[in-house]
Amino acid sequence: MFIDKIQIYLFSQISKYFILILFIFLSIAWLLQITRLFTVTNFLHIEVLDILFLSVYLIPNLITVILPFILIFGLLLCFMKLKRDNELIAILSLGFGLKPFKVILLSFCLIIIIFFTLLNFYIAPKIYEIYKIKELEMRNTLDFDKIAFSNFLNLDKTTILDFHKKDKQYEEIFIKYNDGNENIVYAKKGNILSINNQYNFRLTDGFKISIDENEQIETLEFLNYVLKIDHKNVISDEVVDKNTFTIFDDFKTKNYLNISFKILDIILIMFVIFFFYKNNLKEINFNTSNNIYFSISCICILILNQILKNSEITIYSYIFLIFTIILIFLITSNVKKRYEKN
Amino acid sequence: MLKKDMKKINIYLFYLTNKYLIINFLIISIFIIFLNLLELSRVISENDKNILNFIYLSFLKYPSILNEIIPFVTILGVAFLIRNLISNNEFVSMRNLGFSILDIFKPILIAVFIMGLFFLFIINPLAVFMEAKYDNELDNKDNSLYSIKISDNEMWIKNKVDQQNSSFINIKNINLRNMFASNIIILQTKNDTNNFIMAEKGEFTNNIFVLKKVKYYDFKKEEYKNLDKYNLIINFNKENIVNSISKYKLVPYYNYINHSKTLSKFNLYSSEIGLYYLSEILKPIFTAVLAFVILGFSSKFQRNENFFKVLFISIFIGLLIFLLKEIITKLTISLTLNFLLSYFIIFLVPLLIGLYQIIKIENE
Repeated sequence: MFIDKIQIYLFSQISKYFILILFIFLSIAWLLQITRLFTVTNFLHIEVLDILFLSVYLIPNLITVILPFILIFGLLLCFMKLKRDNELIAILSLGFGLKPFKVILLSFCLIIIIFFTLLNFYIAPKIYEIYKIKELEMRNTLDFDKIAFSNFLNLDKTTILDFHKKDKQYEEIFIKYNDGNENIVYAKKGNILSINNQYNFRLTDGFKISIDENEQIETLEFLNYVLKIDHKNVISDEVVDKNTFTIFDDFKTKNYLNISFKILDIILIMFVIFFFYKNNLKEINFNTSNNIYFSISCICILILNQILKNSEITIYSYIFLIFTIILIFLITSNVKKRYEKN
Repeated sequence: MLKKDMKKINIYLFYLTNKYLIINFLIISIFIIFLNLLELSRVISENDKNILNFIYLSFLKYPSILNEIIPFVTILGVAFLIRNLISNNEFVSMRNLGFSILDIFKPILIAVFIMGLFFLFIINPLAVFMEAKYDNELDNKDNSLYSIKISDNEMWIKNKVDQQNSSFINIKNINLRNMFASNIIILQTKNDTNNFIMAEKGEFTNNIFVLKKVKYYDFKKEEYKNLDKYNLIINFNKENIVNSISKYKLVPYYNYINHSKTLSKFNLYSSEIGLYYLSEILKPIFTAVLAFVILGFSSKFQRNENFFKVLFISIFIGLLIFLLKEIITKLTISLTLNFLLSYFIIFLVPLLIGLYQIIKIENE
């Protein structure tokens, strides 16, 4: 009964710190992504709310990436607080030993792994795919009414558009396009519409210059001129990204490397919790140097894992390297402990 | 209270603020480097995917990351600092000694402001230099909206001579080292007439674009001319072109004014650039205002109050202010607002919130 209360308290403390650090790190990562999206979509003049909604789709993917980080700092902060407030000593002096801590760390580890597995193997790739599709749609939708500034926009591979916008009026419209000949169109005023995959330019007071293969020039001056250019959409294949593959896609395509990356992510989460228990909790050692050692070791492994995942590496070398590094840190931790005891 | 004691407390607070800022800088920058590895893996070419290259590129990116995370570090550093002062009963002791919230804020403000100045004068030029190198290493040819457009080796320039006269210049091949151009098309639009020029070669010398083997068409006279040489008068030089190719964010603080003037010549200056440059220059003051808001929110809590409530609320408000800054920047572009007005709003909103909170605490 009493031990239950302690365990519930410990669990609530760990969860609280985990949520706090999750909130901090996720907010930072999300805000930086929003800043990047704002910059990337600046010239498209997409509504702020649309970008904010789009960025929400990034959250599950961000969580899968930052979760091990959150665990490192969440666990450290929680147990540092328990130690500072003498709660750790109080719980230990009850005579239960490390049992309540072990049970809670194990159950917390289990919950995190279930959550992470669901997220990493299915939910995050699915939502990330939606994000990629929506992002591509936004990039492909040029709403000229919202564009206030142009700098030789590439409408497609051969069409360039430039204009000056003053009080919602298009002025100094410059268009260069290729239809076998190289064409340049200039108009003092005009209107630009995007209808049914076609750019519709209604131009006033201008001229058109066509240059053929032999550099012969033809000119045409006009008072009113309508120019229609097809809008070629970017192919949806561009959406394909290894982060959009669920576990089922990986099995279908026999992408065992991607599966092993994801499994190793889970193993690394288990390692962080185990290493924390072994290095800090078991020894009741929460001094600064030991905390730094724990966090730096874990961060090194996580960063190395990230680099190896993105390097051109075979599955065997990848697994071998990661396990070797884990082993080195565990041995170092043991050596360090013995040295400290002596 | 003795002045000597006050000085001691101020030094202690100054030291503690710096300690919290440094710890947060380390943790958050490592976290962002970790996230940046994902970004790197997407842009780096297959042949360059090796550990050393990842480390080298992360090293090049580090100053930019530090520069980017100042607001977050300030928010978290000050929130954790105040929380620590409250937990250790130091905050209440200082208040009992007669320190007002503003007295406690002074050393924190000085620390944050000095950090801001250090970042402006040292890290900003370093970040620009290393980020440019980073882009170079990655062969990043993504054009900024506000730099001279280069697409598939073609250069596009719109030279605004005055309100009535402008030139659209398209250069199909250009050697940026010696500024020799070939396959050139120019459209001159003037008040009374328009001219179309095609040239095989061209060279930028001072404020003249010397064109060779030219086909010249005058729309008013409706006549063609084949010329061996034609001197096109422009209001920019080689240096202006080179400067305007770079992204506006990759300019050190001491070149902001010059760069803005150069961009105006190419019709590339917008209020977004003005707002960005002003934000960078006034960053030390903005971070101090952020610290002020965090202090206002976190110092009202008592020791026995919920730890999470304190941190969550103060950090949440801080991050909301950062988001507000980003949204106002975005609105400045969409609604073509004056950048001075935008910055005034960005600056005033947190300042008023912080001031309101502190007056409220002092009254309570």
